[in-house]
Amino acid sequence: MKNRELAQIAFNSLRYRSLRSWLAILGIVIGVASIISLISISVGMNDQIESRLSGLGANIITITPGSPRAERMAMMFGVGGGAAGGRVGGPPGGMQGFNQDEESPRITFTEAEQLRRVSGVETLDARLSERATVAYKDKNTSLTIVGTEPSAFPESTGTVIAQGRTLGSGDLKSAVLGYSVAASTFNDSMLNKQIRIDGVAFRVVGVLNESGASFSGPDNSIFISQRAARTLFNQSQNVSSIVVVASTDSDPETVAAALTEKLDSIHRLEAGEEDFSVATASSLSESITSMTDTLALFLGGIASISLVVGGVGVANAMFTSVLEQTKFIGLLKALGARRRAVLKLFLFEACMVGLIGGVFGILLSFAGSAVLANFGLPSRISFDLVLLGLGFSLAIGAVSGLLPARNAASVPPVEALRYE
Amino acid sequence: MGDFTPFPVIGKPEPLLSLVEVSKLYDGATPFLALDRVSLDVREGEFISIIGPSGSGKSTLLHLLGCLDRPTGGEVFVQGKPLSAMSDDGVADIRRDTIGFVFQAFNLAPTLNVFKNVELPLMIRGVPQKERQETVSRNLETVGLTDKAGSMPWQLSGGQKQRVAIARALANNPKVILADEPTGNLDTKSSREVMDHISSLCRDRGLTVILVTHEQNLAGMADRIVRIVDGRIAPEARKKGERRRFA
Repeated sequence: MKNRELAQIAFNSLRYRSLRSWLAILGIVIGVASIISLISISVGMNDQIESRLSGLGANIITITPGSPRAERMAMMFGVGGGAAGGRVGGPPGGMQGFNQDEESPRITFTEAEQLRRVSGVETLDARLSERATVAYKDKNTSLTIVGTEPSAFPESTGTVIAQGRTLGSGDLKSAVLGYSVAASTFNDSMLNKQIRIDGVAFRVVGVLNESGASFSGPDNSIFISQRAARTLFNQSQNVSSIVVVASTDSDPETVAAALTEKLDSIHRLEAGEEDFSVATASSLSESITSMTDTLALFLGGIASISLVVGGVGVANAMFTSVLEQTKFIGLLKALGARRRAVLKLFLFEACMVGLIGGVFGILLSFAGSAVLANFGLPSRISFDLVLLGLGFSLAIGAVSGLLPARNAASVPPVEALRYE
Repeated sequence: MGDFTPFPVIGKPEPLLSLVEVSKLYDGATPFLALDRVSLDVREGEFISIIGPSGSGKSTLLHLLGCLDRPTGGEVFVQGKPLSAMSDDGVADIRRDTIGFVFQAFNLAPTLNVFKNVELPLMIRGVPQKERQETVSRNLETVGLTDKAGSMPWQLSGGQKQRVAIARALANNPKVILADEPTGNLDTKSSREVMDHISSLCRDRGLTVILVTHEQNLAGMADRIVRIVDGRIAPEARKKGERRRFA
C-alpha cells in the first residue's frame, strides 16, 4: 500500500475519532504551547538585551577586578552593574562574596596608569564607584555613585550631556546625573539643585542624555569626579572598574586582548587565569547569550514535562484507537494487508495526532505570547521555534504511537475479526 | 469437477483449496478441539455450502479455507502450495490475490465511503488509481449500487451494506469467494437479493463460492453440501444431484 493512501485512510479515521482522542490531542496542544511560550520568553529577553547592548558603543571596553566567572554570576543576579555603568563594589545585594573573597582581586590606580599606554587606547577612565545614599529634598535613595576622570567624561559613558555642563578637573562638589536619575528617580528639573551623597552636599551641574545601554548603566548612576569619590569613599588605592574607549582606527577586540596581556604581565599571571575580566560589547553579548540559552534550556525543560504528559495521552489514545479499530485491522488483514502496512497506518495516525496537536499548540502559543506581552514580559516566537514545536509534537506522536501500532500489526486476523 | 472426494486424488486437476487431515485446537483453561482431522477439496468453479449447528466448527473451517488462521494439525494447500511453508506476509498475499470475503457483520470500514470501501483491496494490492476507479465502478454496477458510491456505510440498509461487501470481495478478481453467514443479519427480501448475487457469481462468472450457513434452504442452492458436526465432516454430505434422486 502506498504511503499516501495509508496517510489518507489514517486521516479519515481521525475525522471520526471519539472525544477521548481529541482530549489526547489537547494534551499535545498544551505541551507544545507551553514549550514554545516559555522558550519565546528567553528569545524575547535575548532580543531586548541585544538591543540594549547595541546602545553601548562598540568601542568601549570595560575592565573589572574579579575572575570572568564571578563577573558573569554577578551580572546574572543583577549585582555589579554593566559595562559602562561602572562596577558597584561593596554592599547591597549579598553577592559580595563573588568579588571580595579571601584574596579579593584588585586593580590599583597605579596599574590603571600603566594600561593607558597600551596601543589603541584613546581614553582611559579609572573609576571608583560605590553605592551610596542620595538625598534630595525629602527623598532618600540608594544609587550608584561613579567617580570618573573628568577628562574621559562623558565619552566613557557612551552618551553625551543633555543639560548643563560636564565635570571639570577641579570640580569636587559637582555631580552629573544619569538620565533616569533626573527623569524618574527625582522627577524634577535638577539642574543647579543640591543633593546630598552620604551626607555630603553636591551641586548638580549637568544631566546626561538617555543611553539605553546596559542594565544599571549610566542612566541610573550619578557621576562625580574621581578625586571627589576618593575623599567621599575614603579609598584611593583600588579602582572599581576601568573603562577604555578604543581609538576609532583600532579593533576593540584587539585592544581588549592587548589590555588583557598587559594586565596579565602586571599581575604576573598566565593567560587564562585572569583575576579580572575584560568585556567588550561583543564579548558581553556572548556571555549574556549563554545565560539566556541556559534560561531557555531550563524553561524548555519544565515545559517538556507537560509535553511528555501529552505524549502519554497520545499513547493512551492510540491504544484506545487500536482497540476501537480492531475489527478494521482484521478486515485489512483479511483483504491481504501485510503487517507493515497496518503498522504504518497506525503510526501515521499517531504522527497526525502529534502534528495536529503541534499546529494548534503553536497557534495557542501565539495567543500566549500576546498575553505575556501584556504583562510586560518580552517574548518572540521565531521560525526556528515553530519548527521545533512541530518537530517535537511529531516525534512525540511517533514515539507514543509505536507500541500501539506494533500491537495492531500483530493481532491475528481471525481474532481481530471476531472482536466486538 | 463434480465427484465428491474426501481425499485428494492423484491424476485429477489440482484442487484450488485442499485441507488434509486438518485439526484446530484452541488452547486455554479448557482446551477445545474445533476441528478434528478434516479433509476437504475445493475445485475451481464449485459452489459449496458448509452447514452445521452453531459451535460445530464451520466458521473455523471457513477461516482455515480462507487462510485467515493456521491449523494446529494437518496441512492446508492453496493451489498445491502448503500454507505451513509460507510466511505471514506470504499468506496475506494469498488472501489478497486469491480470496474474497463476505462476512455476516458486513465489516465495512465505518470511516470510508462506499467507493473507498470497495477500493480498499485494490489499494492494498497497489493497483494504479485509474484502474482502481474503473474496477470499483464496474463492481458497484454489478451489485446495483452505482448511485451509492459517495454514501457512508451508516447511510445504507443491511442488504445494501452486504452488496457493498460483495463488490469489495470481487474487487481483486479473486478465484474464490468465502461467505460466512452472509444473510445472517438480513431480512428475507434482502437475503434473497444477496443470495442471488452470490449464486450468480458462481453460475455466470465461474467463481468458486464457499458459503457457510445454518439455513437449509440457502445451503440447497449449492452444488455440494458439507455438513459439520462436532468438528468433523458428517458422512451424509453429498452432491446436490444425489439428494434430489433420493428425495
